[in-house]
Amino acid sequence: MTGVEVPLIYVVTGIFIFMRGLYALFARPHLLHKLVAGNLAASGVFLVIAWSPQGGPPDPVAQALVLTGIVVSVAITAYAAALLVRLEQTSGKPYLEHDPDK
Amino acid sequence: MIKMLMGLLTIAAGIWLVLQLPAFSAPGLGAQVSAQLASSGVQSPVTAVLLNFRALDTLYEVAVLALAANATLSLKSATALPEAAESAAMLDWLVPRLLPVVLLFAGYLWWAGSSRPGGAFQAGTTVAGLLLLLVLNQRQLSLPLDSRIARAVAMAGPLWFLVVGSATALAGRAFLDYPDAWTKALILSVEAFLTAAIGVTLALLATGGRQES
Repeated sequence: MTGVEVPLIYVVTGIFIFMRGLYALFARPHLLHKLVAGNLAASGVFLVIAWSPQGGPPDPVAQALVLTGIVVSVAITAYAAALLVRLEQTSGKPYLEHDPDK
Repeated sequence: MIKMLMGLLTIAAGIWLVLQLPAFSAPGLGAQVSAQLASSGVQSPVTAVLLNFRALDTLYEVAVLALAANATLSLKSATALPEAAESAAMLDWLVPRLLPVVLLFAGYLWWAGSSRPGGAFQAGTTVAGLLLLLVLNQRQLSLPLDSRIARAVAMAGPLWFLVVGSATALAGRAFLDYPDAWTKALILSVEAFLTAAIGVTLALLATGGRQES
């Protein structure tokens, strides 16, 4: 692992958060859990992208990328939440049919 | 059992990812951005990337935002807000006084975007916060968020962006390649439209679109 010059903690923490979100995305049947898990995984990705190399000024392209990602993820989260509300209104269930807990 | 297997698999994959990390010594694109900053019309490198160098990506981004807003509106999934509290003396006093301050702050963020951290997204989020403050306090908005005019404002952002891009393309330049003398004015105009559009869109998304009639 020599040659790694960035604050490794951001990258490792980002990967941990991403993996935690990914696990919950598959393991939790409730769709609200899945939605939060997806957001968590996305936050991990943003953390990995937005690190500042060698403690210098942050890369403006990476910042723009993360800013774009955050806005898109907010919009998609809102849409997914609206879909979730609609699903519960029509089917009465906040999860999809193949529930591993049943 | 399956969950434990999945958990172990995720931990293993995470460790594998960390071990696979390349030597992060790449310089990034910061140097190239600073070299071209003078030609971008703005002094803030992030704004230069968002609205000049990679303006097409930002156009796609606001298109996604507009798509999400329209899709949410079509679902009619909004639930009614709870009844307003009987006495809300503090809110009655605070909200009207907060309104001009927050608007001023949003305007500042929009203007600051050309030279320092700020810009349409930060300003738009501030506007969205203001709209939500009004909605959640049961202020009767004279223009509800799902009214025609509010939706027109939400769509005006991406549309004006498209108009600017098409105009530069019709003038014989590349799509969204601003003419030098107009660069700053065009960027600020796009950001102004985007501020209003993002504000309305985010508030609309946060309230769940519209109710089933």
